[in-house]
Amino acid sequence: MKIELKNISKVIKKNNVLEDINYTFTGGCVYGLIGKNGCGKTMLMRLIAGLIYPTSGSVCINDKILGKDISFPDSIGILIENPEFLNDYTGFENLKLLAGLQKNVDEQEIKDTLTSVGLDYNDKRKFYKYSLGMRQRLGIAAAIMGKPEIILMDEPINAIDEDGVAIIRDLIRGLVDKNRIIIIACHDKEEMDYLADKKILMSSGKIVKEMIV
Amino acid sequence: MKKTYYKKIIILFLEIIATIIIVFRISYVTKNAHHPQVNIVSQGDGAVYKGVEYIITDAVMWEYNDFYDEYKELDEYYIDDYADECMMLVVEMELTVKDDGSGTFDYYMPIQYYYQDNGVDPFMFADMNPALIDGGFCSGEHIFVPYEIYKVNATEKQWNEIEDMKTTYKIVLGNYPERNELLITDIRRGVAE
Amino acid sequence: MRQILKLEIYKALRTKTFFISIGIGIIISVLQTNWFYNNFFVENYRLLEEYMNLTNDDPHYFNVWFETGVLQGWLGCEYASVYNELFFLIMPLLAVLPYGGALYMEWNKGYSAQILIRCDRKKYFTAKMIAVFVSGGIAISIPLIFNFIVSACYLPMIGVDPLSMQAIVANRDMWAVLYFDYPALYVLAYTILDFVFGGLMACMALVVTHFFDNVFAVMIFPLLVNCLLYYGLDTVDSATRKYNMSFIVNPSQGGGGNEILAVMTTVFMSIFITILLYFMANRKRDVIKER
Repeated sequence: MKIELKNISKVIKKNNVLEDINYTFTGGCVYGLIGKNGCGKTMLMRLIAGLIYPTSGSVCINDKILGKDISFPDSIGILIENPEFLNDYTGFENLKLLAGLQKNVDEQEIKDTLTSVGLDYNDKRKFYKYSLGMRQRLGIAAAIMGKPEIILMDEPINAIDEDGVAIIRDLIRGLVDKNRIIIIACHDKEEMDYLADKKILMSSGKIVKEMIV
Repeated sequence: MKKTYYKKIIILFLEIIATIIIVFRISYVTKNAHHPQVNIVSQGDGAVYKGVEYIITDAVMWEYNDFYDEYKELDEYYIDDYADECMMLVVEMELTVKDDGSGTFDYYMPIQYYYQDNGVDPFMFADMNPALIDGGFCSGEHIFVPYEIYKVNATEKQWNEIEDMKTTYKIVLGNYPERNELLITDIRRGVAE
Repeated sequence: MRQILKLEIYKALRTKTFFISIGIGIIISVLQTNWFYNNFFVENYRLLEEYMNLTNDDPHYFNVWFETGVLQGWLGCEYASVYNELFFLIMPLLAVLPYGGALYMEWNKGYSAQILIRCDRKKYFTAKMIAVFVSGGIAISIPLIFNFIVSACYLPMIGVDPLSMQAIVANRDMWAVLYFDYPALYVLAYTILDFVFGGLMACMALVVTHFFDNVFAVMIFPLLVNCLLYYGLDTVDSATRKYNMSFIVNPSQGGGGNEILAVMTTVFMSIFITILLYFMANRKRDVIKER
């Protein structure tokens, strides 16, 4: 499993949000993106997910160019910013609708995933009634559902209570696999030290330093 | 699971019942509508309406200009712009007051062709049949009824048929409870002398 | 493609706004039926009773009375009350309410991201457009069909007699044969046409999704276009009326009658332009939560 970023630049409204990024992510590792607000961590994740197009450069996933050979990574789960789902459906229904687009996820797996993040799959409450913490958990569930080969998480423990943090932490570590790339961004230094195997420091849209934890 | 299944069956059953009721209701309403008794009368045969028998004895289709060349006394009704946009159909009818002599002549005799209807210009009609106005008209005499057939009311195909005299017209006398349709099938082309 | 299409149509036909839109249409339909029954149908039968008591000698006895047919009472063709004009004026709003704002909401809230990592972008946009089209078309068709069924429950399924001078459609107008002889088929034909145009109007909102900062502006755009076409373009040049969508959709053909060729041209051109603009507007668009 490999993600290669080659000479990636992204300009939005004359701002260089990403500048000349060259990096390779490989499986079996949790990568932690660190940096100040606005340094480009979220943009980089969006780029890897195929949600935005680079102004120049290319993203290769297992030697396939994103946006050319494939329009989105074959197997990916994301949690970017505040996760949004359909307000008039329950958590289970929301995941079921998304799972309908993926061939490898059945109802039992959805239930197991919801349980693993600390949500009740029988909960009849609609998404609009969920608390911030519940929404975050559902977002995580959507990201890990189907055990994708690429998992991108931006601030995964945001709004999660202490017990939940422990659950999420173990969940992420439990997903580490040689065929899986996990990239997380988190402001909590302690969590980052625990979760990440490699830390990537970003500043002003550039990768400044790579640190092995 | 069983509850949902039974619920679906009940809903389906109610939908079918509702559909059947609606279909029957619609059929009933249509069947019991006030349909007039329609008398279709061939050209040359008579139709009695308000105590007067009407028989179409002749029908002549005129080009607009030819009509006004023929009926010079009607010159005041001529409009330049209509020359290529209008044909004139003049229907000759025999009127006979029936036995008890109390019949009423009704000049409201619209003509229908395709889905178009035209009435009679009352002033032109009066000028073509002065006896009806001055009281000199007798039972058994003939009247001439002019109809303007406009190109703007017909499609291109229909207008070609009208010009080629392939159109069937009908004069309608009354509509309810009895509707008399006097068919005009034999039309000759008018030529100004 | 099947999965995303199934998902989008499933969502489109279950929104609250879908049922609200149909509800508004049904209310207009019921009000119109009530008006017509009390002001036209009942009055017509009173006239019949009056005429049946007259004799040939009475100067008011014209022997001319016409049964009110189903098309005269149908919302699409009934032109005496305001309801026909109201329905077709707000038709774009009714069409766009169900799902027209969905792309805007999903894109700007970030839900689209969840879809786009599971599905090809082109398929997503195609499925979205189809779902908006279908939901918009259904929202317009259901009140028309409902009104027809209710009208048929008290008005006979007969065509309009041309002699009655109550026909809103003229001999040379589009589908005159159906109007005068096969009323149910006329209703069916126009319902299908209004389904298509309703869907297209809803899709207009999709085209402008990324050009407005406000979902309200996106939703109201098709209504504004309709008003512009109806009151604006027609005033400037009434020769364009036969290609004017806002006139074509009305089964009463009040704009001087429709022509089948002009209608088909308008349909295909509208579909082509809408699809072209829609995909051009969304080609290579970044999924960034802007608000």
